[in-house]
This record gives sequence, structure tokens and C-alpha cells, in this order.
Amino acid sequence: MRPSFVSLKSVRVPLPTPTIKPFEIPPLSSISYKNLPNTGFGIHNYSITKTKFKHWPVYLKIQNTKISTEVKRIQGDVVQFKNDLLALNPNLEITVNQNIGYVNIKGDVVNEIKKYFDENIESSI
Amino acid sequence: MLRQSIRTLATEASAGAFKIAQPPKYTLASLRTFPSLEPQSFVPLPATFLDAPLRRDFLWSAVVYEADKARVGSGNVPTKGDKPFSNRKLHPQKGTGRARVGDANSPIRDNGIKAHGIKAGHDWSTELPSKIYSRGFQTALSEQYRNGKLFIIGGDKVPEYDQSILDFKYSNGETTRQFVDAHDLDRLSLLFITDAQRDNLLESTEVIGKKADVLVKEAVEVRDILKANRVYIELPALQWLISKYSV
Repeated sequence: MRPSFVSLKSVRVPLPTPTIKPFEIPPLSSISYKNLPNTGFGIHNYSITKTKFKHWPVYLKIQNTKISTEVKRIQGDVVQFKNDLLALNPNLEITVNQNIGYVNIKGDVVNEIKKYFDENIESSI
Repeated sequence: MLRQSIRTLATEASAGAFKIAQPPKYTLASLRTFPSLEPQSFVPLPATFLDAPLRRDFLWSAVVYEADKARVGSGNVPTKGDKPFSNRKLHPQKGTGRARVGDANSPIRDNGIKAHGIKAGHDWSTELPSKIYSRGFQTALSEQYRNGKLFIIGGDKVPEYDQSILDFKYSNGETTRQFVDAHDLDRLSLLFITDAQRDNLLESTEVIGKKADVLVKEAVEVRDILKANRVYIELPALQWLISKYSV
């Protein structure tokens, strides 16, 4: 028989699987009401988090000749974010994906958006 | 008026052009005892697992991934190489007035042999980034919790007629029937997710057959959670799942 992936399974020595440490429940007293739902998050406000390498989630998206700027990691009211961007620069052409929290802007405006974020968001967090 | 005051609470931290607010980190989940399902206390659990927004794309990807992985791949079709017929030349090369033929093993003959048939032992499993699968798990749990179909069993306060583990006191089928009657679960599919094997629960739920699914935490898939009308999960099992699928 030809050695196949299936037949080799019996030969393979299983590696020890790492044990998973269960999630530790924090004490109730350590949690503020602000950390709980229904405090108005998502009603005309939103959050944008940096990536794990501390970069803003703003990317240049090239689809053949169509060049656009994509902003990811938006939780909450994406339309409000679009309006806030338009207040800063009324010339932006913005489309919004509300399902996944993405915003697409026509053209390469990566540095411009990152500048807005650095100026406005860093200070408020 | 209340809504307005809430709004100001959430946005008081923001400044500048962007209305930044912090998303919720925790939700409070009721801890219940089994089998009465009375809420005894509550614990904070990550909002990513119990309050994630519904993303059907994650669920779809996770379910397709699991279904592909579950395929045995036993489909087998005879091909020319299997040689089900003799090697004998069917008739002479020349002189018969018919087209040239070789042996009966040719896939162009009406003999069930395929030119490129699938052979058994086929691996149908597909790949999915673990982050996407984790998001699928989070979405599934959140959706059940949001619809009030996820019951977390655990806690320290236990009345004498109840248990804080997901198990019956007796192994006969009558216990399951009483549980189903008491909570109006007739014809609903139930999923019990336990931390370790619970023999009484396993044995007792056999009376309702396919309508009950008893799984140890390691065996749970997104499909199981989505199929169930009610999910009963032990707190240690949920903590383990949260740890495993928190990206």
C-alpha cells in the first residue's frame, strides 16, 4: 500500500497537548459599572483600538487600479465615525460596512487619517 | 431623559473630533443550580463571549470548517488501475471491421470505470484561521445567551434539593422526563456541556434520544451550540472554553 497520511497516523507518536488554564473570574468588586453593557456604548460613539504592534488599523487597499484606504477595528456606531471624519475633511468619499465595522475611503489618505487619529484619539484615552 | 443621561456618561471620556467610548468588557451571567435552574448568584464573564454582536459570516465559516473536518472521505470509485476485468484483448486489432479496442478495463466502455475517480481515504478537511474559528465560537455562545437559551450551572450557594454540577442525582430516565416537564422542554433539543463525564446525566438522557446531547467540554463544536434550543453548561467548562477560544 502506498504510504498515505491516513496510514501513517498509526505510526505517529502523539505530542503532549498543552493544558489550558481556565479563565479566572475577576471578583465582582473589581468591576466598575462602566465595564458592563448598557452604558450607552454604540449610541453615537465608537471605539478604535490599535493593533498589537501599536499601529492604527489604517491600511492602503489596492484592487488593480482601484485604490482606497481601509480603516478596520471600529466597534460601535460606524456611521458616527464617518460623520466625524467628514467634519474633519468634507472632501473624503467614504463608504461604510456596518456589519464588520470597516470604513473605506476613496484614494490614498492613509497618512492623513493616521494624523487625525494621533491628534485626536491618543489624548482622549 | 434616562437615555440622555446614559449618553453623557458614556461620552464623558471623549474629547476632540472623535466620539470615542470604551466598549463593555464584562457581562454579568446568572449562576444557576441544577436541575431546578434557579439563579443563585452572578459572575462577570468576558463580553466577547456573551455579548458579541451577531456575525453570521463567522458562524458560517466555523460550521463549514467543522463539517469538512467531519467527513470520512470513504468515497471510492473503480478506475482503470483497479483492473476489475481481464487483460485479454477483446477482439483482434484488424480484420473485424470494428473499432480498435484493448481490454475491458477502459473507462470509455460502459463498465462503471471512471477515468479520474476519487479514491477512499480522502482528506476533505479545510483550513480556517484559529482566530476566525474562535470568533465563531464567541458569536455562537453570545447568540444563545442573548436569546436566553444559555444556562450556566455552578456557584457556591446550593440548595439541598439541587446540585452545582450538571448531573442528576439518579440515573433513571424518569429524572430527565421530570426535568423536561418542569421546564417545558418537550421536543426541544438540549445540549449539556460538562466539565467531566457525568454518568447519571448520560444514562438518564437516553430516554429522549437525539433530543439531548451530552458533551464533555473538549468535544463541543460550534455546530452543537447552534443546533441546540437550550444549552446547559457548567461554569468550569465555560471558563475552559473561554480560555481556549479567546483568540
